Amino acid sequence: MEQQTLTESLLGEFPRSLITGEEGGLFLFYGDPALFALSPLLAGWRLELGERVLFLDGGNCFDPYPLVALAKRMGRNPQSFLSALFISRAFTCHQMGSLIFNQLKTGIAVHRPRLVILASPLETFYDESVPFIEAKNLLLHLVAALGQMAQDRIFVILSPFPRKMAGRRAFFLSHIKHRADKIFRIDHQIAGPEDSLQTSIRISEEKPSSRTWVLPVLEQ
Amino acid sequence: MTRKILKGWIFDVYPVYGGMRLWFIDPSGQKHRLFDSFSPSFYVGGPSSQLKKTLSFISRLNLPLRIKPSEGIEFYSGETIPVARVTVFNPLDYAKVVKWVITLENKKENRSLTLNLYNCDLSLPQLYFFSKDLFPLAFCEIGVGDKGEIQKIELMDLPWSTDYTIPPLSVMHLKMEGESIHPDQCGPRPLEIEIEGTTHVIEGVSERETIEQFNSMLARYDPDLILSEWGDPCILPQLISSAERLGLPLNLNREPSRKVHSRKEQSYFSYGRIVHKAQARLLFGRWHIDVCNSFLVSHTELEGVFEFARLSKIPVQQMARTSTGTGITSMQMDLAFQENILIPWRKREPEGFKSASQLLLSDKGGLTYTPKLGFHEEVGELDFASMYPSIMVKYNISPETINCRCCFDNLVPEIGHHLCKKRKGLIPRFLKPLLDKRTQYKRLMKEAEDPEQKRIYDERQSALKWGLVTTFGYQGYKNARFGKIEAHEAITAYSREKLLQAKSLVEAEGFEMIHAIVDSLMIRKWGTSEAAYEALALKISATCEIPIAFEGIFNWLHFPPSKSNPGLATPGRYLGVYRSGKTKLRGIEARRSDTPVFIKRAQLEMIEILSAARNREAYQSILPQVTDCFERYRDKLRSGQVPFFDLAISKALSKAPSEYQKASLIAIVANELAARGVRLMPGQTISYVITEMKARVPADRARALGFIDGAWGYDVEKYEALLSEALEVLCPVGMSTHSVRVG
Repeated sequence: MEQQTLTESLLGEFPRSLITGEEGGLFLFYGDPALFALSPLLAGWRLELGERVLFLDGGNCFDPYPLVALAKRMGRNPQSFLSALFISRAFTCHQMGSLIFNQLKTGIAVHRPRLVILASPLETFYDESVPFIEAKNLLLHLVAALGQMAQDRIFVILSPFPRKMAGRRAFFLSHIKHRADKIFRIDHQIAGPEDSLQTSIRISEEKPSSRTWVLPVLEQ
Repeated sequence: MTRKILKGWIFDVYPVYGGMRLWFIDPSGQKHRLFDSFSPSFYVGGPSSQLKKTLSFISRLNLPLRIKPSEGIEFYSGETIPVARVTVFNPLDYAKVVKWVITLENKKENRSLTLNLYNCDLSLPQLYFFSKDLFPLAFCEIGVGDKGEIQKIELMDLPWSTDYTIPPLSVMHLKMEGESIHPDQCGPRPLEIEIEGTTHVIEGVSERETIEQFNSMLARYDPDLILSEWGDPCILPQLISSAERLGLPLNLNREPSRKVHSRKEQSYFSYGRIVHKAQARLLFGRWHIDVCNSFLVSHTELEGVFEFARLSKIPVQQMARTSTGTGITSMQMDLAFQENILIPWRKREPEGFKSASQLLLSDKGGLTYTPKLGFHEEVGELDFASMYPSIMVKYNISPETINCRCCFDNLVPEIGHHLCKKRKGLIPRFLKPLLDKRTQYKRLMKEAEDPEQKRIYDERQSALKWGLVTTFGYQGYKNARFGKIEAHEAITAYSREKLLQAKSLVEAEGFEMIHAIVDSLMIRKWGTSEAAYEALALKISATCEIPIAFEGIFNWLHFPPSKSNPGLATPGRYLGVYRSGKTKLRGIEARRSDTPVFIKRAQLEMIEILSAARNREAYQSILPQVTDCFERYRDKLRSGQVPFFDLAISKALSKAPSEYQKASLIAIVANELAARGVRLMPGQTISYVITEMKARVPADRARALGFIDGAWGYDVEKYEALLSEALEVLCPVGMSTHSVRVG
């Protein structure tokens, strides 16, 4: 049997309504790195409708394979998904800034996406070669700009927990939380008796309401 | 009026009030403390409304500076743009002014109206050298006034020269007595100083006497260079702290008014792993180089540092501690500076949007053909010479030429990017002379008869090789000033095409592919002569338009089975012996940095025995000698007499000691050291000896090398297993060493 990706495993379980049915907004998914399994799902639902999606990658973390597997699972041609998802990678916070303040406008004008995904944008802000104040100021402006742009389309930020070395830069995630319209925390749980451990993804909505979903992860 | 004329070498340069202090050494070894007036400049550009506000703010600063309209070439577009040139009269104010402008810029609300800063984050010595067209260790003639002020400098040297000389340097070697172990990771040891062929050990005296003796040696010998082992993280900080505590002077600097400059240690992520950069202690008017804290010294000796310092215009002490990437970036910045190209502050250009399918196509590395498992005879090796840099030069690959606004028809194979045909890129212009210089050094090395001269040329070409390698990597490196990911993708796309072309050609000529990786082919056709290989190399060079060199024919080449999948060989893990007798080892124990010296030595000795074999039969017949060698080493292990130092395994910490959750050997030892008060940072290397791998108490399984004593033994069984692994790699499938048994 072909191995199933975590994304496929969540396909039937993820509460789609969390993200669909909204015209715009700044949504934050943060927590366990398992949250990256959500990005193909979020993108897939838009791509399935024939829309284009923009993916701003701050952690060089885009993985095409779950998206391909998902397309097949949805009965779609993987190539149609791959050619409608547009990626730009930023490796420094200044590149991320330039991407959002300048390049994104063109990207939106050309591709008219209803969904823009920002994967690991903070990774570029943890770089200690950029002074804290400089990184902080840039981030404050960047989040404000995202808030503006998110009025008529959905911006999803996927951000793993700050790594230990982030130090006082761990504040950056708190700032995004403060500005986000919706916040979901992702935990990867492994529980049960030793001989039959069960893996699940726990999604806890922290804003605006407080709800929790536990999604069992099927055999991988 | 000029009072005297000096001839000699520029030794050290750093900012002082109103200009730069320049230390000069003449051919007799005499040092001269000079002063050169210098006012550094940076540039600001951007929307005029923003620019006006900023400039008006700067002009209100109570500092002597001048703002003048100017123009420069914008790097990406190649267009000449108006900018304001801000000249700061006193170099000591320069950083302050730049910082104010940056702060102002950071506070701005409308981020799409950003100001652009140029040339603002170069170090002052770099700016000085760039502006005056000088470089560290340059030989020149200087006209000097009464007070040591420089009135004119005439350069009598070129950075591209291959036959330059180095000033006569007096060198003081500084270390802790005994083996080279990080002094923080072992007990106290006396200070050992070697100068002019005499070794002095300062021991059995008080802290005060240590400082006094050290000072007196500095005064007596006045060394130009203090070459230390662990001077940066331990020896100098300890001496400085003792002197401060006792209220004694410590005359490390020649510049009396300056304190030793300290740079903090740091840990950071690079290519997915954590790296530790030790703190640094830099002197004024004298060099301090810590051989344990310098990539360049450890790979290319001092000659490599000198070569890089001259070309990059980064002072020697700083160059010794910086990466080759910073060195090549400085060379590129110098070229930009000389051509009035504005050097952008902070890399801002993000990658253009591309579809996921385009990304899949373009984001690939070099091509690899899995090696054929086992033992091969008569394999010829062909290597593309400096493949990536050659591709960059040949196809004009540079951040400003990739996906230019004009030449849409000049496509990169496979991936759809295009390259400019109209404008020559900065990177190819910087690379061409570097490639030529390396070629010259290689030629000089071949021609030199004096082994000392041969060594010098070899170290210099090796430094350039590192620079060339880094130039490619820096196209994909996040902080590279003149790097762009699309350029990186274009280079690898061309390299794949070249390797495929070469493969087709050699196969058409009847050769069998044994292995190919990125820029190297290992091929075989029985009975092919060296001349025929040379002819084949010429043919491939002509077809691929990139030079390929014939490296030699292996008498034998062995690709051992992969540890995880014995049915396959691993690319980059092999050993072989050329007909010339030279060995080539990759990825096996003898090449790995974490292999204990004892195992490394044993494997090298076994390979030395095997290097006499010319073919399979000879190899097989020699294997019993290898077994004998193995047994000798095994007996040494069993005798318990192998020194701990030879058995030490050195590994880098991937996290802080307290963050390890499993009792791995590195975690055990990191915690032992932490408990002894040793402060460890992620990325730092620690050395340990396996004492009893299967001990029930984890702390008994391994001990830190620096603290292990005679009460401990080493785990003979475990080291025998490591020794056996080192032997197994040498035994091709189907050949047996018969009597070898572990245990």
